[in-house]
Amino acid sequence: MATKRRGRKKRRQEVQVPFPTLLVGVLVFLVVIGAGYMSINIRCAGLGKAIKAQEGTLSEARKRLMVEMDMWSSRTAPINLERALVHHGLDMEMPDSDQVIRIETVERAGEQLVRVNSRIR
Amino acid sequence: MEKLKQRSWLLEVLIFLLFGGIFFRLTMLHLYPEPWITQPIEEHRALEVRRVGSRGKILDRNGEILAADVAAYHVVVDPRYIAEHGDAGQVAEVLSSHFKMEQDEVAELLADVGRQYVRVVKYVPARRLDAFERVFQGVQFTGVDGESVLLKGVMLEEAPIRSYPKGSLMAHVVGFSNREGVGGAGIELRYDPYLRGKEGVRNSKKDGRGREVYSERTLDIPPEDGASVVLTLDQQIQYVTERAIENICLEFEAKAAWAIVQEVKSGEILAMASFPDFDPNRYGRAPADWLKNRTIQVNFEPGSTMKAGVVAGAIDKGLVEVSDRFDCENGYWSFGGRGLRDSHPEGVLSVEDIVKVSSNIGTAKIALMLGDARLYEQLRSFGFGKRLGVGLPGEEGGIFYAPQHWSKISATRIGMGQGIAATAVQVLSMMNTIANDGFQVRPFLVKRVVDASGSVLEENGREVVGRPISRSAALAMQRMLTRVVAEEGGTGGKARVAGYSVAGKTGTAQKVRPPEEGGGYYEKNFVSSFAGFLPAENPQLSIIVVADDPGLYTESGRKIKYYGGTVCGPAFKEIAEFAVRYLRISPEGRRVYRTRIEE
Repeated sequence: MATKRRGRKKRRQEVQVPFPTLLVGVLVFLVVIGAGYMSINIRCAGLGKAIKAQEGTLSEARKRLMVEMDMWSSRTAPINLERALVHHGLDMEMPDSDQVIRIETVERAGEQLVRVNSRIR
Repeated sequence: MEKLKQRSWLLEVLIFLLFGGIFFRLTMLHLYPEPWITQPIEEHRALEVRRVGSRGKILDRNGEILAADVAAYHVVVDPRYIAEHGDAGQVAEVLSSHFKMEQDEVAELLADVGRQYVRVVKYVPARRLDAFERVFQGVQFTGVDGESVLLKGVMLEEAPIRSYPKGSLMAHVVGFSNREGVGGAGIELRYDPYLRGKEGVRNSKKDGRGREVYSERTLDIPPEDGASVVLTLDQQIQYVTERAIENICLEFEAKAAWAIVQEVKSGEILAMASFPDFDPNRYGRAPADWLKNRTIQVNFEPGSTMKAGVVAGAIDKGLVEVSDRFDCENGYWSFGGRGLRDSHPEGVLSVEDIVKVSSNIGTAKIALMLGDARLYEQLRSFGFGKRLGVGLPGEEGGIFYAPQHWSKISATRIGMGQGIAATAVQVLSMMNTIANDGFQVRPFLVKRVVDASGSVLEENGREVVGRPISRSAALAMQRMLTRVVAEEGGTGGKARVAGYSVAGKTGTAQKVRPPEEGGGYYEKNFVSSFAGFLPAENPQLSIIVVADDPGLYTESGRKIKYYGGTVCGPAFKEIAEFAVRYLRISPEGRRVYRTRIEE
């Protein structure tokens, strides 16, 4: 009996299948390549989406800028400025010509200032 | 054992071949797919987007935007989708309250559930749509109370519009373009090829939701915005000019009025105004006559302003001296069988007094001394009878026939501005030539054209087009024209500007009666004008103001307040007074002037 059992044990040890190193190696290699490819693909797609989103933001910002510039231009139109002044009760007029002091060059500025000061005194 | 090993190897090889085959096939399908597989897919996924760049901007000399493309949208609804998934009542309520429409009107549009595309409001500027945000199924509306509602089945469709933020300011120069982005008048028409944006193209693929897949983009040529046109006009001077001519129409009941302000040395036009005007944002609502830029499109008989050119020519040719005296026949002179009158009878006057009091008889005699041929040549050399080329479409060249078509008395009438028709820009150019020591420069409106990348495509500057009179003749005329304004008895007293010497000439011409009404001239209808420059000693600005049929009637039916000096003189003063201060021109003509763009 004992011999029979030993023999069975021995046979069981003998039928063990060898590990398919090459196959596994090739499969792992393919999986790594595939995963790497997919990962790069997904990252590219993600970057593409991000670029698209930025393009959209830029386009919207440009539109917004034009709208703001247009509104600013409208608000700074002389008639609208005049209306704004009236609205806020501001009455502005240009000074009369005799109230204007013209300083024509930097060199002559001091000289003219002395003249103006002496006139004031 | 060996057998088992062999079997195992065989199995490994088989599995390897199987997977290898699948891998190979997948790789081949991925990298080199068959056309019959790819073609229908490619066709379905292909995406080609063609977009045209925005129309270029029009700017004044300081970079103020006068015309630009801005974002706008059509508000579109899908009645079928709303009926199935949305809330038609809510959509009708929100849209009607926001766009000031009748709720029933919107509800009626939504009730047509057979349709999937209905425009509720067209061309809504983006600034009016701040409360709306585009989301996946429709738009999100946020009310003033901060509460948001999702309006399913409502869409905002891009539809950019041309905006003219200054309204009617400079409208006749800027012009307008239509909804298709094609220039219809003014600079918009003349510079249309520059202003139009260029088309761009993008070839790519879309995903299942119809969105573009960036990594599939194969061609991307971005659209290019149109070039910007920078004008010589200044919005502040323009505004004052427009206000002044509007006042002429209100105060003196003129049918129309127009004016130009020009830089003497360079020829740059700082203001060009015409009244009645229009708002280019709603140009379709204005009568056709209001769209006319009268400064270049109306030929009128200039009247006495022409005397300046005739006398300048006679002095230039050495035919008369400033002190030469002429008999003005006490106000009535018969020549060639036709009588000629002065409005104020005068006896013997010097040439300078003839100009000062604007004697028709005196000028007629000077014109006769010049003779037909020389008078014609002189006025042609000033630019009468031909277009000056200011840079706008529709410019008239005036009506000035050659001497072979003249009668015996033509020279006497042309000398005082009758029998010759000119545009305001031509009359001003003559006055500008006198102010510019006899050099005639081309008046122009466009400073430069710059493309989207900043390259200058066109640049205009000072261009001398002729020298109709000598410097000495021009200086003599400058002195004589100063007396017209400065001295008592001169016709231009109302154009005086405190602190500055002004030179100029008034004009009051009877209007031509059309042939269908019998021809000749109207008795009581006039075109009044004042053309001049300042400071007279060192001219920097030349200005012309013209009024069509001004004047008030007294109770007795007499027409008053129609003379050029009375009607246009004060407007000239108002414009000049502002312009010299604004441009920092000293009374001696020195300038401290730099525009923001030039800095």
